[in-house]
Amino acid sequence: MPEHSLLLSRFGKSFITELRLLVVHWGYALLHLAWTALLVGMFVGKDGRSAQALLETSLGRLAIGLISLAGLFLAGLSASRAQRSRFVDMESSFPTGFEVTAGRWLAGVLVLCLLLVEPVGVAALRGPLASLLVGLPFFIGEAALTIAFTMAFAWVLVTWFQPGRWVYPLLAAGWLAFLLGPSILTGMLPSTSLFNFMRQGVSFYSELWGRLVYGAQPLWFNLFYAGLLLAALVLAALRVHLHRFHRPLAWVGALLLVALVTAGWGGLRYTEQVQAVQTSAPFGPAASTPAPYTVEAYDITLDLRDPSLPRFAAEVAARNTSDADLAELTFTLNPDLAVTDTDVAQEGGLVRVRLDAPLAPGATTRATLHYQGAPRVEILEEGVVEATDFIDPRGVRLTPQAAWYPVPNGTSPAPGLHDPAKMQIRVLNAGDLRFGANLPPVGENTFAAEGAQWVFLAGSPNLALEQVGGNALVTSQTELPRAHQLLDSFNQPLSALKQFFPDVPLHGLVLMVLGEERGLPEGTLPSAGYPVVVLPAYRLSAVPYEELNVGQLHTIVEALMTDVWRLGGGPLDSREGRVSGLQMAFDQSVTFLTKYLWTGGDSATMQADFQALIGPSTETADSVYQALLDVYANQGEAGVVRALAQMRAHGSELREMPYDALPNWVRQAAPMEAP
Amino acid sequence: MEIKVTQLTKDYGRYRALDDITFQIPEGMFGLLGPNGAGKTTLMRILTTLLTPTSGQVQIGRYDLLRDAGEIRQRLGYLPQDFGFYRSLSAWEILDYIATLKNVPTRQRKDQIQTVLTEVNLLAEARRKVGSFSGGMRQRLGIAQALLGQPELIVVDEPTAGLDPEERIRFRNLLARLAERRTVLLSTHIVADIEASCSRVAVLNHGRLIFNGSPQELMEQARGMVWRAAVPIESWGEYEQRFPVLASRSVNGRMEARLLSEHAPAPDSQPAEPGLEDGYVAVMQSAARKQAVRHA
Repeated sequence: MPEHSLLLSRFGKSFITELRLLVVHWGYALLHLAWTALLVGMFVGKDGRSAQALLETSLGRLAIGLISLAGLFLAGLSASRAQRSRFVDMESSFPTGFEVTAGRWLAGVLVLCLLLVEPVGVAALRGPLASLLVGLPFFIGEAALTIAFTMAFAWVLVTWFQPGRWVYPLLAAGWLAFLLGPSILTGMLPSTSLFNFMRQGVSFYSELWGRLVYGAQPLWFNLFYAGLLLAALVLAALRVHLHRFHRPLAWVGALLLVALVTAGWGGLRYTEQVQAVQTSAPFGPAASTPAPYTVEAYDITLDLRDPSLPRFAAEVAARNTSDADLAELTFTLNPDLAVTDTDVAQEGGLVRVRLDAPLAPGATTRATLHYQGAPRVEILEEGVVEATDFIDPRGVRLTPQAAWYPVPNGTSPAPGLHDPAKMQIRVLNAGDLRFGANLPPVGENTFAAEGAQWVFLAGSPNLALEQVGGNALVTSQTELPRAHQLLDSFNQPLSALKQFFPDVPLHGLVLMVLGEERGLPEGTLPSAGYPVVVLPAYRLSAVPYEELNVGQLHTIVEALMTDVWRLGGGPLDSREGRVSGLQMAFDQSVTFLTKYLWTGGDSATMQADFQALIGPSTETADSVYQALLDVYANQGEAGVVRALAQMRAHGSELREMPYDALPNWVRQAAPMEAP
Repeated sequence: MEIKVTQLTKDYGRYRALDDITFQIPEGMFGLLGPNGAGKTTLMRILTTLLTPTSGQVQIGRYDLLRDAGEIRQRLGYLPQDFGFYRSLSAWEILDYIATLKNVPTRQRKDQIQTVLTEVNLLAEARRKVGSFSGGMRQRLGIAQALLGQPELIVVDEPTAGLDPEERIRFRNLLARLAERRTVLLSTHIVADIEASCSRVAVLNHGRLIFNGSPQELMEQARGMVWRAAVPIESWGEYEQRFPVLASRSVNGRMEARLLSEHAPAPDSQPAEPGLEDGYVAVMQSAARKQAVRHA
């Protein structure tokens, strides 16, 4: 037989034998049982992510992490088996080389890869099938790479140093160090996320954009470990050959060089990108004064005819809010967007539009800006680069912080946020991308609203946009059934809330059931008539409204009431630091309305629930909740409507009020009507 | 396959396990004798390519030990003194595994496995897991694996340990038969094994080669030095102190013994015909005396 056939035969036999030794063992069956029990217990019915999202995030990360740990031990067991069985002398006298080690290593990799069946099964139970099929190749590929690298590393350690049993706790400690170390160090050294070989770093997964969010970083990360894997195998081969044939392999140097160059290149590109994001500066100079004008209306068109060079046209209606004439309008615009109008000056993140004639105080003028480009805004999240904004042929994600449309250059509570304005966004030549926004749809890929302070434009082939009654539902095709259920859970409380806010025009809800969306303003401010709720798909169980528990109902009521409150002119405070009297009054109003919905408006039950909550103490704590209960018991819904209206109207008064003065204020705010 | 060992030395740190050994192992069956720690196992591990010598040369056939380790392994069957198998595999599976690693062609593999299992009388147990084998069965399986691949050189270290007398004779005969066509190097404590089957024998002591010749020549080392004597029990202790005792038994209040001495150890002692064991003891005694002289 030719030597290469013999080599292949020895490799195959050692692979099969090792596989047989590992798989046909009660311990392996037990491992599968325990593994199944763990994953079922942790994930089945408890994590609402889709199959692909599960494999990309929680379930997949846990699986890869734990299997890599098992890999270290399994490699140690395999590598020392001949020694433990006292077979090593006999085996060393056979005419073999690295192929036997390679066969065993590969068998170990396969055996551990079989442990991926359970997470894939759990993900398959979650479905849908299309999502599973999309996520499967990435999950299997990356898990296999991690397992292969881990086992190769352990094999190198054992073949070079032939340590005793003390190596097992050392390997476990090393694994733990690589698990925790990068997480701890990423604050100071973000690039250390590269060393998180078991992929336990932060993982924001989006059903709409998948890995577009990470750009090329996963590729560089994988390339780094592919290089290290090759290097580990070459080193193991070198050790075996030196030991058995007393001379180095001829090809080792070249292959080791290839491996190290591959790893170095991948690692370098990865860290370069991390450093680039780390050192990137915000656009333009930060303004210290309010803009002297406001934009009352936007009409923005995004033309994707050439996906590599998107073109924008933004027509603005600006009103001079200062008491002096204005000669120019200064906007903030992402410097990656190049203004194509020749008469407009662009300096970094600032765009200056020279007006034909000075704009008198209170006067309005219109201006149109044309610009083009595909900005990509990236942030570092625990050392991992994530894009919050991008325009790509495979997807579009534009948030206010990307400054993708011209916003008056002035102080702002959040990047990209502007005064309420009439807003219209149109996307032309979208190809296979479907679009959604935080504004209600008014036509194909067209969105419009009054009083909008920000725009979140989302485009993806997987996006689903549905108009359900007056509500707009934006989600992924994958999550559509769940999102429908969630919309129902939001819609019923919204209808009930309308009676408590009769003065607030409510046309419908914009519900965006997406991922952990970054770059959006806190509280996702509503547009006129349209509360906006942006919700990670897996946060709330998609159960029918009737089956919601009181905690879930509270979350929904709070989300809705925040927007309705604002739409009704009510101020709200940040939740950071001490809770103000205003925020306390708001929070307890939310609790009251939640209880109202939960009990069907039964004041006796609401009172009993409250008593049960505060306990049998004789000194009953007074609260806004109790005050609203009293008002409701005495005056019904009309009294509560009056109290809520007064609270919204006198927000600044409530803000500074001591907590214990709030209940009586509420009672007096809704005076008993004369019989 | 002739083996030429030239000025072979092996050091473990400051301890010298083999000290400048030069000898040849011709085709046929070659016995290696020596007390524990003499360097037998070190020598065998070097000859089987498991260890590299500190200095010196070993030529096996036309192959150099260091340069052609792979070629030597291809022609080698080795049974170590202390060995085991993967317990969850059957005898057949383990032999199939080893045969593949020894490059036995696929078409011949089954026949060879059957043949070697028959040779060691384990064919009926071929499908049994090795973990359930007795010590003797395991030993026979070890011998079977050494025969796989029809090696030109067979190195066996204490191969008959654990075998019952019948199996030992059977195995000795098998080795003798194999040695007709190849070189068999046998290391053993059982002198009878060598006596019955080896055409050449070497004795190692403290890492040095102290004898290399035929079993007959080894026996001759004790000629004129073996005595039969009957000694009163009360003076037996004194005799034990003065002479190496080759054998002894108590008969009617006297000790009848075979003693090793250059002169008649007692007035009524009778000269006796030496055996291989006597020759071995004589060689060891001679080496001990020479070493004592060197140290003095």
